[in-house]
Amino acid sequence: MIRLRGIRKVFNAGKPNEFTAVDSVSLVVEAKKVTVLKGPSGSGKTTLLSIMGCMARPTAGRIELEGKEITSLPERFLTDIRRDNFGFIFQSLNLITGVTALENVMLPAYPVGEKHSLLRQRALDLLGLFNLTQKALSKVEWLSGGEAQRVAIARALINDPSVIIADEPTAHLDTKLSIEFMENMESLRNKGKTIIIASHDPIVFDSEIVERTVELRDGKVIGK
Amino acid sequence: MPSIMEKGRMVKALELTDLCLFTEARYTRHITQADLNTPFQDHPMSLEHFPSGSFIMPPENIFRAYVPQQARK
Amino acid sequence: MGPWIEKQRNILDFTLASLLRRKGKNAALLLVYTFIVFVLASVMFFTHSIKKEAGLVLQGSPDIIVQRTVAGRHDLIPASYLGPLTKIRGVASGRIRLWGYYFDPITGANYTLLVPEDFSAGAGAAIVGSGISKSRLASEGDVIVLRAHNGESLVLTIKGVLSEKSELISADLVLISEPDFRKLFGISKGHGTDIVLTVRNKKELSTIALKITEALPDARPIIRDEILRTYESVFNWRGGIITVLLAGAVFAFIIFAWDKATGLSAEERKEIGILKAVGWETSDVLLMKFWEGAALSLSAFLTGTALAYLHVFFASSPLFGPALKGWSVLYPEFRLTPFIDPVQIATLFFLTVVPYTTATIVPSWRAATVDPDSVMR
Repeated sequence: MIRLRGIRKVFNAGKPNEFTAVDSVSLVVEAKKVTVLKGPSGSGKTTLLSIMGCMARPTAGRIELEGKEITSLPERFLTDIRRDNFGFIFQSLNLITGVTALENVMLPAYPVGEKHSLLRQRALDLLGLFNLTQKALSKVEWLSGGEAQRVAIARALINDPSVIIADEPTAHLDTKLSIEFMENMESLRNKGKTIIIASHDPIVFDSEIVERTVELRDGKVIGK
Repeated sequence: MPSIMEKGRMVKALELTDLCLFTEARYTRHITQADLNTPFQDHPMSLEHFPSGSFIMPPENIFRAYVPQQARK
Repeated sequence: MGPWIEKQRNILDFTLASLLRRKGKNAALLLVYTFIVFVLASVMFFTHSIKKEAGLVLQGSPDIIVQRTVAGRHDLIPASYLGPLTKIRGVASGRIRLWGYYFDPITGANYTLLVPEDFSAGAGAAIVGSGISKSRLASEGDVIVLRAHNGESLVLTIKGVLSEKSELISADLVLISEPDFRKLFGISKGHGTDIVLTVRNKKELSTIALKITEALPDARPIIRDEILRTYESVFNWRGGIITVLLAGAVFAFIIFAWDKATGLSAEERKEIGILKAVGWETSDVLLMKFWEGAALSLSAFLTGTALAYLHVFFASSPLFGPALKGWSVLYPEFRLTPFIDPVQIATLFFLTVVPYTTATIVPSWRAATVDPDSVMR
């Protein structure tokens, strides 16, 4: 459960191009549910996502994760929390090219110092869940769009996080793959994960698996 | 190091003074026995005759002059 | 300790996979780097072993050698000098020595002719160094003919060949009897090449040398300490060719470091952004960069040094041949005994691995501190 109180994020403070991306947002994201942040581009969805996921710090306001305040933790602790609790799926997937799918999935767990063979097995199992065992040792640039998408999801799951955050996941996908993506999110929710998706794609925000929609415009919440 | 000992014995038996490294000229073959003038016989700026000149410096004793007691007084 | 080691292993794994991605460039880098280490280490091993060997082997050189100089040049010494020299306090004994050079037009080589103190083979016989035996294809039982000072021929039968292992000191030696030597060079009994003296107290060598110059003003003494010191400074790093080698290596390294220090490519920056986004800390990214530099430089260092060892101590330094040989025809096979100076190796390590690794980490500092959400913007 994530609670946001009066979150504000300002970029380039004090300079001529000062810009408030998120302005006084307060909301509670319920655990084990699918929440969608809806709004046009520039509405602050991505910024809000990155703050929720401990990727960026707010300029003002407070964040609580499972009741504990995490706003002003030092970078190292924040990174640990992020690694343990959140799994990210990016808009442009952001897989590392020239490296295998398996390696990409294992990457987020490298700093933790888990035994290499155990980690490898876990990653293989995850890829197996998404029917990617055959492609595990292929370089990611050889994968199809859908396969790469699933590798990105598997990577987000490697540290067994409780929250999955996805930023415009269907932006580069066709309808079939977009629907497939939402089905994957549904099965993850059914396994007890919290899902937060930012999107302006109707296939996402009109999907029946979405349990809550938060509408944003110009950095403010206009509808919950 | 048997080969070193063998060479050591030979040096003592034959009263040798130098390694057989550069056999082009007298002063390169017997570096330690070279007389004063030979290494400096050419102008200081002239090119070296042999590559070995760039490996070896003139022997140390050249720069030392044994000045007899009387001459010092 | 467990997780720390596993973390290193994981990151090292990824680093190696990354290096393999730019296979061509990294292979070229590794090759050049290894080559430089190979050349420098070869020079180090070679020069150090020769110096060490000279220091050991020449311990048996004569205590004092007395030369006579005429008009600034080394000239024959009169036998009458022996008397005054042996009378100097501290001198145990003295002996006239005969040795000289002979130019052989057939092979174009210079030989060193020597009359040993004990030459049991007698007149008409010669014992030759293995370098001569090889270049003239002459072995025991064969005959060599030398041209004497007056144009007559001196026929010598080879009664023995000095061992190949001792080539470093004996490759060009021809040992003959005293009568044959004097006949060959036309030197009468009243003269010799120089005089060797044995001294009772080996610590007195320079004192006695001083007394020699007092007793015989045109005599030039050479003491064993000087002989040993001369070989300590042979192949000194200030010597011409060695300076050129070092300068070349330094320039090559500057070029490497320059390539690294001009910063990361956009692709590398993006990758670091992704790593930060998926949960890597700044220190993890820098650790990766460290391994990138260390893996390459360590491999190059170890491979280069190992190859240098094989080159010098097993293959007898064939690559130095052209440089060392110069105009000489007789060139000993440098079968050197392995002597390694750990300080030199450590210096080579610090001058190669450390700068390269640093040059890989430092420019990445800024990129490594990028915000994790940078890939999202």
